[in-house]
Amino acid sequence: MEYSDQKPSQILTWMNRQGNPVRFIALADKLIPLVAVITSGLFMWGLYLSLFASPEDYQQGQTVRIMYIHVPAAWLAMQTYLFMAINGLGTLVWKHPIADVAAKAAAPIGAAFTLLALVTGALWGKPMWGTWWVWDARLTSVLILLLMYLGLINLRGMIDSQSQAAKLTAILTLAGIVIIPVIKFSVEWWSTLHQPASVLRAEGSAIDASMMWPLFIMALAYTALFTLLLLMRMKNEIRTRKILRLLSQLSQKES
Amino acid sequence: MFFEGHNGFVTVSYFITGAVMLFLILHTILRGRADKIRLKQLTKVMQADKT
Repeated sequence: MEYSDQKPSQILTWMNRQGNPVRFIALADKLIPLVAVITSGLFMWGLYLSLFASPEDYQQGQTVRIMYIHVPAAWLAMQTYLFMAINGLGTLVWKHPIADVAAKAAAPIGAAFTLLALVTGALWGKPMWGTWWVWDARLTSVLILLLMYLGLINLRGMIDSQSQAAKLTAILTLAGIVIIPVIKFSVEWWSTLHQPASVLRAEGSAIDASMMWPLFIMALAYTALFTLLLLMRMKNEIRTRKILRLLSQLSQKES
Repeated sequence: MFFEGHNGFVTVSYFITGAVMLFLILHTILRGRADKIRLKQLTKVMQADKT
């Protein structure tokens, strides 16, 4: 059988072309309205299913509806970190110019999703467990994830040199990736108050289809929102870097 | 139906989620606009400097 490397090289060529900030902004300008429409549609559909069309839980009653906003927030909190780690690799190994822009743009979005997962989790925990917070492995590891997001944002803000900030945050992001399997498997490795995995597990989902569909649509809506915010923030970041370049050119001229 | 068995925890959760998402969207849009204006002004200054 003849091996063809046609496709990967085409993908790499396309990726390198998008590395040009002007080309990326042109692509983002085309994609943003489309992603905005998809995000709005998915949220309307997801909220209808979550609040009106899905049944009450036989044990939790109406409170189960918190699941439709809590679980996608937790998934996106972890996925955003993985996305940042891949971009960190892109910065360190391939030195792709857009990779650092993407990692920087994604960090506040990831922090917001993590915060939402913690807050909605506490609001779900109080009526179900009788407490807002316990220092169990799942909750604590997600809190650590939030602190890591804040640390990464802070580290970048503390370094003046953009290339050095990119390199150091990429290294720290890659070092911190160990938190993702800890969060995922914390409910299996340790005895926790948090329930074990009920959707993404080897034996298949433990959730009924009437509750699985709203959860799936809300997860898609959250992912679409992440994509929309990421594209917009990356565009902003490219502009901010251009402003900084122009300002340094002006100050050099003046001096 | 959600409103038949009104639950304060659910309402507050959805409200906070909506507020955080709206804040993120508005912050991103407004920062983008501010940067666009600043970039235009700076480009004008650079062009005036050249001429």
